[in-house]
Amino acid sequence: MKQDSKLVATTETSESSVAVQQTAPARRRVLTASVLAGATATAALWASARRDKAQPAATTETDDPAGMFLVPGSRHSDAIPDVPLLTQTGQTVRLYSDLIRDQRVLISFMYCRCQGICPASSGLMQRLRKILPQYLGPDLRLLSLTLDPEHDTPRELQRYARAFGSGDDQTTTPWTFLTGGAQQIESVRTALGYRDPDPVIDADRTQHAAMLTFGNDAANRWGTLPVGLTELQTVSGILRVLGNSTAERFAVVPRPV
Amino acid sequence: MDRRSFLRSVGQVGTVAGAAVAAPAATQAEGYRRCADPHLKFVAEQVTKWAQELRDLNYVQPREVRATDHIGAVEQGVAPEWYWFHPDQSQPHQHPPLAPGAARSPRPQHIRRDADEQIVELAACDFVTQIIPGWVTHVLGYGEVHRSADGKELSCQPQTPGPAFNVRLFHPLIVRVHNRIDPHLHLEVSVHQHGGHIPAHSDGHPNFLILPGERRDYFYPNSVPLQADLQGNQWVPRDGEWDTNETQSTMWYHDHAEDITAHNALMGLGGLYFLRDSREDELRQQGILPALDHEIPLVLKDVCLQPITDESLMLCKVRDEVEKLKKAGESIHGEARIHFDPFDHNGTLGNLVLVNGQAYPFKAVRPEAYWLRLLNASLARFYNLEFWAVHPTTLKHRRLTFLRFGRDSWMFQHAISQTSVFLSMANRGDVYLDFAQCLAEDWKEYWQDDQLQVLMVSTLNQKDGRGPGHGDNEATATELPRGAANELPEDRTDSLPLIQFRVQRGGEVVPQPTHMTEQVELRPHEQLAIPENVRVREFNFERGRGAWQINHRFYDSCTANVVHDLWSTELWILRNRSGGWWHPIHIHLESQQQIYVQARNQRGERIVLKRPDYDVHRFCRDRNIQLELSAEEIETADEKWKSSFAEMQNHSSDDPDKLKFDQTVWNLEIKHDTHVLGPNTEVHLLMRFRTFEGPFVFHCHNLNHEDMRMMYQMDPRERTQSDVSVADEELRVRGSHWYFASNAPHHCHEEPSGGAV
Repeated sequence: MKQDSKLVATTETSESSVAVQQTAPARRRVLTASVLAGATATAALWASARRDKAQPAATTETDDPAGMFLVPGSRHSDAIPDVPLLTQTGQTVRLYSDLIRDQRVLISFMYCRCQGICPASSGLMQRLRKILPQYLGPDLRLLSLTLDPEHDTPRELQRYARAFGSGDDQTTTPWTFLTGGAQQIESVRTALGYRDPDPVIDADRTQHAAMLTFGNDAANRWGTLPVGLTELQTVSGILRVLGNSTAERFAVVPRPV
Repeated sequence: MDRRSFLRSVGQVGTVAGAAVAAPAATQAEGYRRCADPHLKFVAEQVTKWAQELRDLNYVQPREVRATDHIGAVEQGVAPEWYWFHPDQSQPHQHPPLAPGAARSPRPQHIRRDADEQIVELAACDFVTQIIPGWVTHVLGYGEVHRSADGKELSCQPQTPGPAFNVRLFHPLIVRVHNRIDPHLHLEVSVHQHGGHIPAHSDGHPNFLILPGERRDYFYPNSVPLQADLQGNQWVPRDGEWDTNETQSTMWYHDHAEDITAHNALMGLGGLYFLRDSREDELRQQGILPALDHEIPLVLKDVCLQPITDESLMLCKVRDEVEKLKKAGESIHGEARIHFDPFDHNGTLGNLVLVNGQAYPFKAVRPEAYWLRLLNASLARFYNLEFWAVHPTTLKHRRLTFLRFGRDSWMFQHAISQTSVFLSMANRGDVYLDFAQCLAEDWKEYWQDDQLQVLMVSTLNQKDGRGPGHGDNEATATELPRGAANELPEDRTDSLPLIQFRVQRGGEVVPQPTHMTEQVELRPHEQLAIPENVRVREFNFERGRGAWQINHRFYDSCTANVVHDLWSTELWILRNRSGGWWHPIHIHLESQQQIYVQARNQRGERIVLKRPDYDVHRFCRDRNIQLELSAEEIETADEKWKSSFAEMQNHSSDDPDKLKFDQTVWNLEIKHDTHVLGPNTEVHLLMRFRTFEGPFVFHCHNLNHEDMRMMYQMDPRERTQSDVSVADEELRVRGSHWYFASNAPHHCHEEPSGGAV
């Protein structure tokens, strides 16, 4: 295993040559290797990211009474490839390291020409972008990946984003639309479980825009729900995953009168 | 691991991982992608088979309730039904007040109690253990809390599977469950007692949670319902006539928390629950059931273990344990982490099948009869279990026959001679396996030094969460490490050995005067009559909007999808219309009886089972209900299936290629609580809704599907005028038992946005 990680480490250092081919676990091993030198600092960061807001601040890992904190390098997000993608403003970003690492994210799939479920998914994202910060504060990011990267250039995505009110206001809760190489997009789609074991169904992109994935990467918690739930069900389900304390996680409780 | 295989596995990491990115479509076809990774197969392949002896299960030790226990004075309260028997107890804080008309007045005559309640305290915990010797694993489990007479906690040793329950019929139990899982993990729990007849508050409803650090008092009456009749248009219970045919036997309990059931169950929150009564005692005294020390409970669950040897990557709790054990001089290789993929919604499969939490254990037995109490506790894996005696030199195998006398929670009226047990998720199988059959002269060659090896194997291939086979039941490859050549004959390496029974003969033989036979009556079974003008409901289980739906809808905790008259009998039609996907459908509250089944067996033959008094064709035509088959097709298919049953009864042939199918999977003469909906399967069933008002749920027991909201709510109620005038699904679930007494602002009729967006 050591040999393997060294091998990838070499690839990783030549950052400019966009090492798309590396796998997620391999990428994480590299990350760990580079981070381990400053282990104390990292651990403190980790602890503070996971801390319950209700609890007193834990400044180092040893303050964590349960000793439960994971060390970076063994998160569920290991499965997400750190591929380079283009945003609606034409900026090149790394999916994991720039947009997901240690953050709370909401991820959907869409494409501009989609007549079916996408308007519903994107409309839901639009509403959640206003609702969730009321409970979670500004620490939240929305990502929408196109399933039609050949057609959906950054320019197309920008138009689509504006239609959903995400063109300009990127300050409080950023909503980033992403396109990229077909292979990169495919690798993200399958990694996030937007796949069907039947290859015929899997090849139909209209099948993959009906779920929302949400993750609290620092807490290593991820969830997915279908788009077709009521807003109340959706918000409560998302908060239970993204919230950092019981108060945040159960800020919305669908309960009968 | 020798050097060559190490290099080979490293090489495979590179190749497979590279292909995963370069050709995602190809990876796609592999189905359960990550568990197939060579590095995840590593631990499974390292396990030495039959090296550990199967551990005995622990049983909980209920005790008398003391004044200091303060039943109901815990965060999530106790069921309103408990107060039927304790009217002097004021409902303590936290318990939501009952709104007028929200719950019925006390009806203690609807639960039979032959004794005072006892109490068991369980704590859901996270802890570290060694599933595979030498590898430390972080798991969830239950531990029983023991207390001194003055209420001081003495000990709590968590385990997975959790301690088993051994309770008596009509002896009620309070189970106080503490959620002591590390609060940093933010895991809420809800304990469902699967198969029980339980008040809604205590049924493990997915939204009736125990939050981190909190407690809930589960009230298990361990009673059976009253018989009930239709009088006019009103269902009325018969006073004092207990439906003892409903007495359960092999049940289990497991976590059911909304959206995280798969995670919690995979990590270890589950255990067995046995109910015993005087009929069972009688059968044991008569020698028809084996003695208590001849019961072998076997809980099957597959996991995928990820080896981590770099201490910096280990969970801190695991790393501490590893360091501690290494200092103590133990040989520890590292962490074996249960691999949970939150992005897998199809159905989590593992590459290592644990039996009672152990990998490939052995069990020493005598050539006598045993009661195997089998449970499939897996998230998405199906099993077809057979018992093979293996020839010591030629490795030829020969199947043992056995009597199958229970499915799900209920014993049959008469046992059935079988050679295989097909278990979908959550199914249980009660098996009377008599190893004495191997003492006969024609088994002689299988013995060596007075020892005989019998393997329990699963002969089912399954490669992804869809289920075994894909509609047409073609043979499929699988990621499970199969039987090595030194254990199974080469032509059967597609079968998976799970546990080894070492039969030892010689010594003193205690002759058994009586045995279970197919003729002896075990527990009476009464076929439910189809009421005139019976209420019919249809449920289609489908793939839709990237997930799984029931009648085009997802689970919504605010909606009562089905509202029944309390005490009524209804006819339900369950249809699987989701292509190649299998969905085992579990309905809470009571048993169900199948009256018509249209399915396919493992050979792909169409199965039609129809109760003679149910003219399904006419029944559906009169009600404008679609039926796939014509009247003639139903009749002829029925005949064909009967003949193939007859063929299966013939155990003289031991042709290994001949598949024999478990005829209890679909069966009109037994009770069920989890219906196997294979591809394009349709089941018509009768079910009663007695004793307790809802809400309850029914759902797919592929737990990943359940978490993606393939679940419905049903709410039996005493009929009121307002309920009758409103359609199902417009009715809100009643709030009397809701999980939170908090001042959370959002009710079912409000949207959280607090204004137009």
